[in-house]
Amino acid sequence: MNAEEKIDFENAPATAAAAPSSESDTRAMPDNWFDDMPRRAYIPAVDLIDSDSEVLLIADVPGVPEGGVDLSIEKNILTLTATPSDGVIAGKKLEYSEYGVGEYRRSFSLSEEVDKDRISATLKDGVLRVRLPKTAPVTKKISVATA
Amino acid sequence: MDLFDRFVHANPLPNSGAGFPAFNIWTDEDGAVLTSELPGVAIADLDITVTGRRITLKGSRALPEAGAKFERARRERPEGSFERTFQLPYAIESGRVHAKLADGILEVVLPRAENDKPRKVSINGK
Repeated sequence: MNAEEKIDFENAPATAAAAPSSESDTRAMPDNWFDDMPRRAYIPAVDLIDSDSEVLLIADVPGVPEGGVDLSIEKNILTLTATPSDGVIAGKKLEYSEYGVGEYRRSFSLSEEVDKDRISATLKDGVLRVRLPKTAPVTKKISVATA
Repeated sequence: MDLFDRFVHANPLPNSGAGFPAFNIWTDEDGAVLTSELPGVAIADLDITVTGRRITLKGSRALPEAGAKFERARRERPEGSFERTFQLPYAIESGRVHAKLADGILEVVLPRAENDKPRKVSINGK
């Protein structure tokens, strides 16, 4: 068992968010089928900080300007997509390269305790912080009748 | 652990195979521009020095949440201090070097020293 499973906040399989669902999609392969295929994307480095009240997800997305982040939730899968500026220096040639520039994408499966309506995010200096508040645990008292 | 997870664990930082931070170098006849991915690094925490052909980038990245009382359930982002030196094939005009930092990307303009540029030699005919 890995650490994520312990807190019910694990990586979803890479294709979970992008792959067409096989059970409902029985049509013939459309001409633009490949347009829907997941494109090459960079996996951002992520820290997860877990507390009683929330999970804080911090992702490095260097080069992504304000408005360049998209967070979507489908069922229990949170998908983070972020588009950086192209990083090209006009008029110059890329002579030596240690990093590539392209879309960042990563999916996470959320635990039941995350309140999906109260998720909030901020982006600053190429770092994305997503706050995932937890719902207060509901205690239900069950009375036991005596026979 | 599925394939995706194994990939993530084997390559926690796929963008920085050559150390942190990763560099890209752009060139033309006037000089070079170094770009580097430095998410979350403040200008105050960066120190750039240029000597001859070399540029040295020193700095540190503090993770404000690192000291928090919370448990860090997943930890992939590098932290702490770093230092990298890059040598260009020509001398840098240190007086004209300038840099900017935006959205976690550092951009340093490194003009080639005038007296180091190739000179066109005119040939006088008779």
